[in-house]
Amino acid sequence: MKNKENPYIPFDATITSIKELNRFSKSYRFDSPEIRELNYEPGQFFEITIYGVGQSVIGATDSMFDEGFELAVLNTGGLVSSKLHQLEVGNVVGIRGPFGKPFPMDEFKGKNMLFICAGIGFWPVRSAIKHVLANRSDFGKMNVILGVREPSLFCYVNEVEEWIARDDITVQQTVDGIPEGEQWNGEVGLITVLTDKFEIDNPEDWVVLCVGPPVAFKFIGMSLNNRGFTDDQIYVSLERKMKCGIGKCNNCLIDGRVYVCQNGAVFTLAEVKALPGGLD
Amino acid sequence: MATYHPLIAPVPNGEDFVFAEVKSSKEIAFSFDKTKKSLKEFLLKPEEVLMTASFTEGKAKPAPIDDTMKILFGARPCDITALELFDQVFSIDYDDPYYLSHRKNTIILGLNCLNLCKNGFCGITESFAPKKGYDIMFTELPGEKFLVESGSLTGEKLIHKSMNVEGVKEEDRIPIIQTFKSMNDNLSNEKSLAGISSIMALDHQALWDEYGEKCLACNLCTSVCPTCWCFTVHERIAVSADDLSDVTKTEKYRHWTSCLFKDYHTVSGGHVFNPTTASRLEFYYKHKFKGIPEKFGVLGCVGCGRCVSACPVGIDIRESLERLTNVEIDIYEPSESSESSESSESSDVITELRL
Repeated sequence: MKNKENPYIPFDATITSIKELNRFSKSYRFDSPEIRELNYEPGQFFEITIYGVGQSVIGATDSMFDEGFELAVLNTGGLVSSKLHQLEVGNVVGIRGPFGKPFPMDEFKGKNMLFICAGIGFWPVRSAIKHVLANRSDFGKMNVILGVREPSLFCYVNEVEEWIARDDITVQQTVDGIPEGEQWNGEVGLITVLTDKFEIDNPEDWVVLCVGPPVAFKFIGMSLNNRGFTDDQIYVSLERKMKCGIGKCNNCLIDGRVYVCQNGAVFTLAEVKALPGGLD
Repeated sequence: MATYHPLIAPVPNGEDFVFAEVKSSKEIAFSFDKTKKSLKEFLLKPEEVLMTASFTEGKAKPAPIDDTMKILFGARPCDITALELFDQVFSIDYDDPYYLSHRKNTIILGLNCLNLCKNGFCGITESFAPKKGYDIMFTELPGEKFLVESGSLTGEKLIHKSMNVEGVKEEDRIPIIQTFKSMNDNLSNEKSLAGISSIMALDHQALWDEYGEKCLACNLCTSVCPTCWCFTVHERIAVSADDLSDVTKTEKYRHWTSCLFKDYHTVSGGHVFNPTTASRLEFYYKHKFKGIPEKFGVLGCVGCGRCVSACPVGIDIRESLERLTNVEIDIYEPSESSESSESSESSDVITELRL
């Protein structure tokens, strides 16, 4: 249905809490009357405006079943993310959204779920993980694979520990390397060291949700193909330079024809591979 | 009491013609090949404030949209054909209130082309005879007359009110039919770009590499193009000249950009999705000849040839389309005598239609 209101105008939201996720990243919870009415699904994204500074597109980090609306932000050194990192509880930002196609969670009911989270790709996947946890009986087995560059970059550590303690979810973690002064007793190597070892009998009963840098999709995809998964079973979320979020400005186009903001940002790996430049 | 609307029309500008507001019909250039830039700047502003807000409190409000009714005379059929695309772009899924307001408040008076213009190839793109998108269409007839046809109720009303417009007489029949026959002979082309979308899906790396070596990524082609609409959105502090110390007001604004700019494809953190000029040219052509037809059912090119005229390094879209499709595109150089002449009678009609 067509939105009759001006689609470029954000609503105001007040920051109610800020948490440091790691030395580069923070998560923010927001509140406002509009947020309490928000209806969004895992994989959808929002456009956050810092009035007078800039705007940026950020995937939802939590799910509708949570206590509040949360976004996580990596400080890339860019105008918006660095300014966001300076904001405090009580500050007001503008929010538009939700935009984009979500992960089709209803279609996944009855399936075993494998979540692959490379780096900050964990944040949008977390939204889907929380959705499954809130509706646990609708889904089969649940496995989460997390990979980060170095141990200190793991996020939502307490929450992940709670998942590890559960008997209905299996969590595996790996780090690319261990810098001097950091401790890590777990797996070391790129995320594919874990996907390469992933044991399954019946690949057709599984769905994979994978978010990370597009270049990683190539290698994760190959690894999963070797385990018996087809590219149609693997759902990814793409990042592009989204500006308007509503398919008008063209900034997020891939191959001159696919709007990440409207046709995605969630795609199957098969769709992305069919797009020239989709895995750039 | 009559209300006069601002009239925008082609006026001479050095060796070219541009659309500008005119105060008198004497300023209007009737003998113009086509304007250097398309009319898109009157509907999709090069820069436009979308909303204002407070730096600390937000409370965003849509920026007031200039809804002054304007009349734009001299829209060429290619430009009107391009509006068919823009009208879809800015109303599909979400209405863009800014474009739609400017569009609604701009009365489009088209002026048919009787001959191919310099660098034009509208026969190939089938964009010389739009069926809609204008309020009135003017066609120059022999004997310093114009055929004036409405394309909308607004146009119908304007014609009905005009004192200088009279009904078509029996003796006008033959000249009218002959004029359109001649227009069709001069502009239509048995060749077409059939299959261009499929051809765009093939690998043309050698062509992109060759153009990429030449192209300066200067954005002139995209800014004069009637079918390019890429824009970007930014925030800024809106400082009023009345009080320079007041930095509490902010604006969200958009401005034209170009897919040929590297920055257009650069995301936070510095990754560039189309890092070479060649890859950005490929994107430009694929959008025009595959992406736009797939989504909107029309080509992303109306054959106006403005990009050919504007390109400082001589990249010619006709040549690239020839090389892509193997369809030869005739190059037409108009002579002085083939252009229409100024008509005092037509001036009167235009002036009166401002009512």
